[in-house]
Amino acid sequence: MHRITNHSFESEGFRAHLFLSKKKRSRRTRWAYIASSKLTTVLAEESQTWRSVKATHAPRQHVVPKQLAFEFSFEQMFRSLVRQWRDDTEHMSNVNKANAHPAYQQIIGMGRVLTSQIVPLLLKELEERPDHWFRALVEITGTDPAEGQDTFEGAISSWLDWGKRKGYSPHARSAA
Amino acid sequence: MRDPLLESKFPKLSSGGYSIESRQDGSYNCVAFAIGNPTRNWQWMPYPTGGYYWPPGIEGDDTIQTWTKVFSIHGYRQCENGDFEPGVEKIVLYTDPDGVPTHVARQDIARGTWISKLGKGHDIQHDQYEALEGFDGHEYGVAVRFMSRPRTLPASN
Repeated sequence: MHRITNHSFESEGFRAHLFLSKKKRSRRTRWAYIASSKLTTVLAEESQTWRSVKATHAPRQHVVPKQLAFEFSFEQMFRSLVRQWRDDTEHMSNVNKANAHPAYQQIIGMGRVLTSQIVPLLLKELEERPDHWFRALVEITGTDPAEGQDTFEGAISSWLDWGKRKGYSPHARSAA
Repeated sequence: MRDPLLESKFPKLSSGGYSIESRQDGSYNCVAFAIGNPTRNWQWMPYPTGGYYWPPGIEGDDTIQTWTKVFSIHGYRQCENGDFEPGVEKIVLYTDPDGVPTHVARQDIARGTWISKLGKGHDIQHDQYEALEGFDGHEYGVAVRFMSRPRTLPASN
């Protein structure tokens, strides 16, 4: 446990703040209120000071801590992974090394679970910002409509046609 | 034209001369560029995947030996170093610390400098092949093999 300021302590990443009541401030300090982390009790056992804190804090234990809002958007995560992969692999000359990048592998993982959401996003990427998404699409869909195509443009064309046929194309979805 | 972002990824470029020679283009890679056929991505794939070209008959894996075979069928033979020799076109192959090929650059037969297609990015001209070496970030590791083939400058009018 480290003392940060006169009224704050920190241990293993958790910080506790002690607040003094003005009325009770006297020569002999009394702790009137504490707002702290869930580790307070553990910390309280480590020193005389914290034992007194524990005593004043105990009646408040029933208070439910306020939780921060947590929102998850798979599309935001997808965009973030695409950006990370693109930035990190822009100059990689070996496609196998680029495809082994953790962000690329995470996109494949997401695609296997959320196929109907991720495939249209990948096809849109392929159409608007052509890049090496061929292996990811093969891994996710289990098919390779670009088989036999040995050019970049040919493979993009094959995948976009496939997407339209399968109803994955963002244009087909919006038109429907 | 200098590119601070490029220099941040290849720090040794900033201490030597270089220039950007093309727009960014992912439709061909360094192997295609070095061989002189910048229309496709020449890439051995562990599983068949459309969109990539690999010369028929070259079996193997993603190793320096396999890349060497590909350049051999285009007339390149191993040589000692990357020193400029009139009438000779040289290439240099780079690998990462695990020996996996990462890049190939070609020597400009007119100037003796080097030209590279940087992944999905630009073609650049760089004075030294060492400018792309390094292990810290986006660099290509270390130059491990030089190859050469006879080449003459096209006749000028």
